[in-house]
Amino acid sequence: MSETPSGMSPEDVVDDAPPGSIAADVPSDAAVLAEREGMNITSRSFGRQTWDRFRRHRLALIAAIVLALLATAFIVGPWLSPYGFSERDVLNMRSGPTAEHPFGTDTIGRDLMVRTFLGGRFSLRIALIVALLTTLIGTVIGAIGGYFGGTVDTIVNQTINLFLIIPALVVLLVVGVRFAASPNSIAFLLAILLWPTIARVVRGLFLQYKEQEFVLAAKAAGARAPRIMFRHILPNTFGPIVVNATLLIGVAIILESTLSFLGVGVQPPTPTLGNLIEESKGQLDSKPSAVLIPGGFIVAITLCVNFLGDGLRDALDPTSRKG
Amino acid sequence: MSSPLLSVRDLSVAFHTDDGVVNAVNDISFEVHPGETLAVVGESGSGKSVSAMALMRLLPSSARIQGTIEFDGRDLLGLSPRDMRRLQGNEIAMIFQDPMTALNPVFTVGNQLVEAIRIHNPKVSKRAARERAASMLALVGIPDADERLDNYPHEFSGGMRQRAMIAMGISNEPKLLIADEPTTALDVTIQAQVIEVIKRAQEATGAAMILITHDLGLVAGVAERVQVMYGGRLFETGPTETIYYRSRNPYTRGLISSIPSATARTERRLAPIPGAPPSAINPPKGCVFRPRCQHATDECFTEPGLRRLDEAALHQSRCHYAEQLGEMDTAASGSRT
Repeated sequence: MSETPSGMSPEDVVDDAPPGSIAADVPSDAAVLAEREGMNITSRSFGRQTWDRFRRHRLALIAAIVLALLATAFIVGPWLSPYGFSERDVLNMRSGPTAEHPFGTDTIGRDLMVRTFLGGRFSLRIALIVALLTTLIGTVIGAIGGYFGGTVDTIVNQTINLFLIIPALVVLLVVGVRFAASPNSIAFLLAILLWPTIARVVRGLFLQYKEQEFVLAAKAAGARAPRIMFRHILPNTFGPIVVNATLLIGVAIILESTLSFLGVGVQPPTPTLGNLIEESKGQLDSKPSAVLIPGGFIVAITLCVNFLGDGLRDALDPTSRKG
Repeated sequence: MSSPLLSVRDLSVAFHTDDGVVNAVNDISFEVHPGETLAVVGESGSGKSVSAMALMRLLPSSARIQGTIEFDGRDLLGLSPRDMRRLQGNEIAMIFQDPMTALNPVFTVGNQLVEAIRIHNPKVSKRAARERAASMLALVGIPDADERLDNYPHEFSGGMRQRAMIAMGISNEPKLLIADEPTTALDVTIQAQVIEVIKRAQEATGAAMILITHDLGLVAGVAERVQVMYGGRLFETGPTETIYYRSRNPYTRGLISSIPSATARTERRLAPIPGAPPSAINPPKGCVFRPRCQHATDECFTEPGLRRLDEAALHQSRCHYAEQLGEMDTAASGSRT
């Protein structure tokens, strides 16, 4: 046993501690005072705390602003534009960026700015629907599997694995040809293929949280399974769910663009960001802006969504001390 | 004596595992009367927590439970899940070991207290429930209770969280409070305070209490009766005084001599019990304490029953030599080899 400089051995310290048998003699007011000391008791609402934490995450804040601006542009832009999305300006075909057509025109003279904004609108809409649907399906299925365990979980887990090994692109190519293809049906297809990502995360979290004592405490308080699952455990999993949902927005935009690029996505003349690249792919040498602009939007949206997810994860965790 | 609030008869709990059948609790019987405090003492694996979980019907469905548990005239093991939920947290409440994880980290303390109240009293308005929650927090000694309701658990210290758990436990004025090692996860300096708070809360509501602990020293000022468990069996039961000063069981005596004392006049070494607790899958033949017992003889290869040591059977001990042990006590430790 090592001695401390003062010559006090650890046993002495233990002997100084009050043994439990004199428990009743300790005045409880002293306890109150001791615990009161150095504690600040200002409390902020959950929303306030979340905002305070989010604000500190500069990149996420910028990403949120950029996304808001992009969304506004996508929604309002086509509406303000003097051109229709399939209106042809035959005097200015294949033009690069000009004052009249800031993003240029395509091979048959349609204004690329209005088409890009409208394309962004469709792409974003598809991505949001995908994110919502996958989160809904994935959360419910993952929660049921993780919470109930046993045979239920085996079925859930094997279903998740089955969906995860399906090569998404191949299925989409095959199915996409048959169901040619409105933005909504593409979104639906993507959701069916992408929900297992969320389900796997939620299942893992439920497996972990159901062993926590607060779940036992809730059971001991007489709470039923659905209440425990969705009121007690689910809020603990919001952070990871939101992060994964935002990441899926990025994945959905890229997948949709890929499909449209391959010609089985949303069908022309409806523009999406992927469609626009596909239409202009031959002009990469002569007029790179026609490819780079929609491509740039895809990159910008995906990046912003990822930064946003990162910031939200920290902000939504009430135990995070960053606030 | 009044009729018992809780009456447990021949309770056994077994788990079927890949390694064999784990007999966690074997044929224990006990009673708890209204308003009284029963301490259940034993080391890890003695079955004390499992029997409490059996009372609350919180064991996983893989557990095989036998015996009867009668609470306030109802057979707990026969109740439908729906009727059981009506009891849980309302007539029987539980305080858990680890206040760090027993509160949900994403809800405010007030939120959770209000839910605990309203889950059983849906008609109580949110405001009334909040007022009640605040008065409960104040009762367990948390200052500025009304402000504190809006704190998250991580803004509470360990002692405060356990106080909040106690407040939650008594918020529906249960008839029976089960405290499962309520101080184990706390600093030694806080333990005494928390026990004091539990006592105060119990007095305020008139609840009976089962205090589960491995610390016999904690029990003295709190419990009227003590029940010592070992290897899933009841080893000794009796009034607290009797257990402390006139124990008739070698295991209980071992526990008592391993309590550190601040008042001992002479320096003495703590006397630990040698060996390890018995395996619940392959318990030793005969008395389960035999391999660690310094009084063990050949007779101990047959399992002893619980022996009544007084007329009213208040004091009982599971030892072949329960009667002789009393004499050994006065003969001092010289006879121990």
